[in-house]
Amino acid sequence: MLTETILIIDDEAFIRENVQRILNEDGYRVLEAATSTEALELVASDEIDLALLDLNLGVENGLDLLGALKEANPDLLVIIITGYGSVETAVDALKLGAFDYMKKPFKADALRVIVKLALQTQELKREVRGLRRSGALGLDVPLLGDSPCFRQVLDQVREVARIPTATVLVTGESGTGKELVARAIHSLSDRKEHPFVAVNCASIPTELMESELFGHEKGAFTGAASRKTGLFEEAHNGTIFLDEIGDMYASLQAKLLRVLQERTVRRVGGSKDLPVDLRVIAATNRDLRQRIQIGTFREDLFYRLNVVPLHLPPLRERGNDILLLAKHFLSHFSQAFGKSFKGIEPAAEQMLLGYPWPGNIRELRNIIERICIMAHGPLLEPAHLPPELHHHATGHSSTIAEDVLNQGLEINVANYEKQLVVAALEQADGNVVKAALILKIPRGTLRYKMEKYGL
Amino acid sequence: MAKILLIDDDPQVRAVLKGFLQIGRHQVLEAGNGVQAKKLLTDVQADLVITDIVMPESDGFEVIMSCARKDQPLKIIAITGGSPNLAQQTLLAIAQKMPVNKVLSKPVTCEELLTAVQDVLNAPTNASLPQST
Repeated sequence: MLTETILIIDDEAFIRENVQRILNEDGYRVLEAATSTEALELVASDEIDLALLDLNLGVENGLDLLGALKEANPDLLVIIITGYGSVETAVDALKLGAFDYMKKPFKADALRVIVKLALQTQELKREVRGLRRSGALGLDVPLLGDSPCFRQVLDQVREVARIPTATVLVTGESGTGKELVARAIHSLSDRKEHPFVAVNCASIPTELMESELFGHEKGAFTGAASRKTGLFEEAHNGTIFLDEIGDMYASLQAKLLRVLQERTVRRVGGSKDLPVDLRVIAATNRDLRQRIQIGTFREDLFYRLNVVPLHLPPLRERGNDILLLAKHFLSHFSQAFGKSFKGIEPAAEQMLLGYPWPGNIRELRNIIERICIMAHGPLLEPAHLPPELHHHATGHSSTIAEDVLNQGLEINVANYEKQLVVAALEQADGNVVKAALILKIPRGTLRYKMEKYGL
Repeated sequence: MAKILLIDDDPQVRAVLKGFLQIGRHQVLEAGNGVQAKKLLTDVQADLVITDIVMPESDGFEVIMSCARKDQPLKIIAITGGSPNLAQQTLLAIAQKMPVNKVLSKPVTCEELLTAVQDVLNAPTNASLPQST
């Protein structure tokens, strides 16, 4: 376990020395600050886990400093030290985000217990964050972005959230955050207390899809030993999110159309139409109009789904949002993996801004996650970034740089392969069949490669 | 704030358009077809009619024509979607020849709709003249 760093902020030298001595004995690293300025400097320059703050800092106001500390590092734990009779102030401090408070004078043991408890809590918080990241607790990433095109999306999300029956069709390239947008619509709507059910239409085998969505009665088919409620029923009063709707097969499209028109579902093998009150949000990264032309997607279903269209811009069109998101992921993963990344070097920022991000936010997230596992910080440097970003920045030169060569054959070939796959997909407007023809490989192989590169 | 009669046979589309109009703080009356709309219009005075073009029963064209024939022609916004029989472009072209103040094509965003409503409400009453968008 790493040594935890504790900062004691007190204008009285004798208290600082005492705390320093007690906590040093317990193996903590202890820093001292006598003024707000010193404290803020240390919080900015050093990795501090916990601050002990005397609210009575001479002429300075401890509560103001608490606010400033929390702003500089929202995850900093702060324990307030307060004089006799100023419990109200301590309560204010708790409201401002302090972890706990101690009344002066305090005993060494009391200090030890409270510090240990606070640090354990911090550890738990990190663990929870780790679990969240792995999906165990469900994703909890906000919709981040400040670019004009993304703000427009946010406006549309807020507008449509207010209309609880409106069907929404979310389009956008792979990795642009379609499910996040669907969840945002759900959680901003009156349906937020009810279930949000997400279904990936491409991942469930077609034979199972119908009974998954609609449920089945006992004995409806071989193996239907008991009655099963479908996902539409589970989403009753809430929202059902149908991802990759473009891949839903034709007979199910007809059934979905019926749900949208009649607002009822019928279980497989059932004879009753069960009313459902829900919002349908469908999403796709495919061009549904093109699919209608080829004849694999029903036009009438398209019009039913496209009541409120919401198009998510690709990351490369979102300008400085790239940096905003990069910094968000950096602080998130830095914390999850116990690293100390504080920011991004300007040269690395330029590389992030110049790269076309074919895998969009998911690709950015994966790259930053990898960096937080492999590197240490405090700044994200160009050297941390994977070769495809370097290649893009320098253009294609015929001479191979030494660091590229040192990556070895496998990684370089994989990178080149990824570029080819991206180029073919772009030329084919995302049509996998066409792209496979361009690359002269079987469609299945292409799908595998797309999966492999997160496209 | 205006009193707007909204005509569309699809309750879901109606719910969405109504929601958008309410965001713009307008009062909304609803009709599922032209017959209902005409009945409503005999009882209430609307500032603006927003109508779908292709509907069962009495369709949007009839609504538009009957509104235009009144002594005080009503302001109209026509919204066209595609239909299995007619392409959206064809419908748009036809609608633009009708005596309406504005033609929008489905799906519309909240901003498009509210902007169009504001433009039309601010315009002088001349819905009997054919206009393009």
